[in-house]
Amino acid sequence: MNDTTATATVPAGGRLASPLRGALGGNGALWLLVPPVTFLVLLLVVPLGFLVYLALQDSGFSKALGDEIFRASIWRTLVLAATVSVLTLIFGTIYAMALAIAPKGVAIALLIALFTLFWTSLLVRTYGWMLLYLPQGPIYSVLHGLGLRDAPVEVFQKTAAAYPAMVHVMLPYVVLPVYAAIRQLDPMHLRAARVLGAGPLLTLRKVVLPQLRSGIMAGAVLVFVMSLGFYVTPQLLGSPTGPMVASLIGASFNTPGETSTAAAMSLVLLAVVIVVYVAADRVFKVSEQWGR
Amino acid sequence: MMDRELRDGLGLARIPFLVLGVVLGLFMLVPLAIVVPTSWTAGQLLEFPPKGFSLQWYRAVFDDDTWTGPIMVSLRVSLFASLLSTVMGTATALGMRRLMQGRTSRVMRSLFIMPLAIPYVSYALGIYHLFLKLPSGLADTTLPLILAQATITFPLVYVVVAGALANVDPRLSSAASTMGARWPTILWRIELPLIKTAIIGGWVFAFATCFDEATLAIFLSPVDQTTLAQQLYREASESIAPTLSAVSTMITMLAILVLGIGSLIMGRGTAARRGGNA
Repeated sequence: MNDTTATATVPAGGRLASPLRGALGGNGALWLLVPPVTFLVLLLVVPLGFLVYLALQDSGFSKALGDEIFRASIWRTLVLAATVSVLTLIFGTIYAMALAIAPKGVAIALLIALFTLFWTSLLVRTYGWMLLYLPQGPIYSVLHGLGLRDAPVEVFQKTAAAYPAMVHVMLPYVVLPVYAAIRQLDPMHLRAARVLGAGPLLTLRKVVLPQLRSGIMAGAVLVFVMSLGFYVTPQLLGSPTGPMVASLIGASFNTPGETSTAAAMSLVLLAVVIVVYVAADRVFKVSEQWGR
Repeated sequence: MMDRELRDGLGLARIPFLVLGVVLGLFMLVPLAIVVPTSWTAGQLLEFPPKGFSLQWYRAVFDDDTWTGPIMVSLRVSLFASLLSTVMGTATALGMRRLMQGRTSRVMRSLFIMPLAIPYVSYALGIYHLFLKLPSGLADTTLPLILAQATITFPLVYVVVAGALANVDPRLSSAASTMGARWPTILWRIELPLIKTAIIGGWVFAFATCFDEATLAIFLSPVDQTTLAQQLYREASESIAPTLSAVSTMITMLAILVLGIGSLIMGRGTAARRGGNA
């Protein structure tokens, strides 16, 4: 009996005995991973490393950090990203819950709205907000029609104008992971809570939300990080006198002599993104939510 | 089953969720609900509510090479970029599956997900200046843009394909290997056929993302080759006109059509695989 088991495990044992063969691609891992890793090193790591070289060329860091406009824009960008991700987290969770508990017809309508939003071009959505904000646009027509306002509305190109649009753009990134997490709730937990007499609020607070936490956080962190570097929407809707970091980088992108400053600003932005991302990954295991 | 338990467990607390959900659903549709009607105005100016109904602005889009040129550039750039990211992303998902779970694989996974998080402006700056250092005017072609878009869509394909691979029984590979199949055979005959729909889905998703991507295009595309998203940005920041609404409406319809069909195909694939396992 012992003998047969031993013979049967020879192939497996043989594989284990030569880890070198495994490392050299006995199962193809090496052949499959070398091209994409080379690709990412050449096209992601090298260009970002090149920014360091550029920034050091012409004392870019001291120029960037000495610039009051830049320091103000960092703060403004952080406030925008934090506000947008908190709002998106709250609204996105509510929407995902509504999707899960709505009667079938309503749930389908909500799903259609979500995917229409998700699949509409970012520029089209931003353009829609621009139209909405026109001095005599829809907001004005509605308010005027109701007899509430006579003067044209002036929200376009104010810092605040970017906020609703950013929340709008980012909503799906929270709704989708949270909805996926809701689908994975264990019905037995919910039943146990109900049978043991937990009311709706207690069930929500102690059973549902704790299990959704990692999905919610994965979405919120993604939104925060994406908002930090967002260019198009704040550029088109926001205030020209109160630019975000990305807009400042964009402004000095092609200006001769400002390359090193732009590179330094890019690195500061990148550093914030990486710190947030790594910290969140440690605490909430964000990349496992996506990568599995 | 879960839905019913969740409904019962939440009792009356469902109502605020539903009401807010419907309000948010309407909020999601607001910008589109404004863009679409402004495109069929019969007047000369962009107005809301529109004056009358006419398709004149749709005709104007096709009469004018302001738009037809960029559409072709976008199609070409997105096609190359998405094919590249699909090949790379699929190879990564297949390779990571063969790797032992451990520190190395965690670090690698962080590298693979990173393009999702990097600020595009910073990335564009690095790529642009790197290509300026390279010989023979490579910076004046669409190559930097194609490579940059392939890099940022790479994680999307990787995540989609890795998700599908997680549902493929690893014993299939072991069984094939015991019977003497080497890894290329396993890859070609077992794994790729099983994840075919996910690869196509990932590619569609990557293509749509590249097509819609504006920031990299604004900074990287050569002067004489404007992409559609970049052209939309340019026009929107200069002057708002009904043609812009007409173009926007058409792109949106097309995107919803393509992505909707793509997800239906993918949904069917997933359902079929689940059915097969059960």
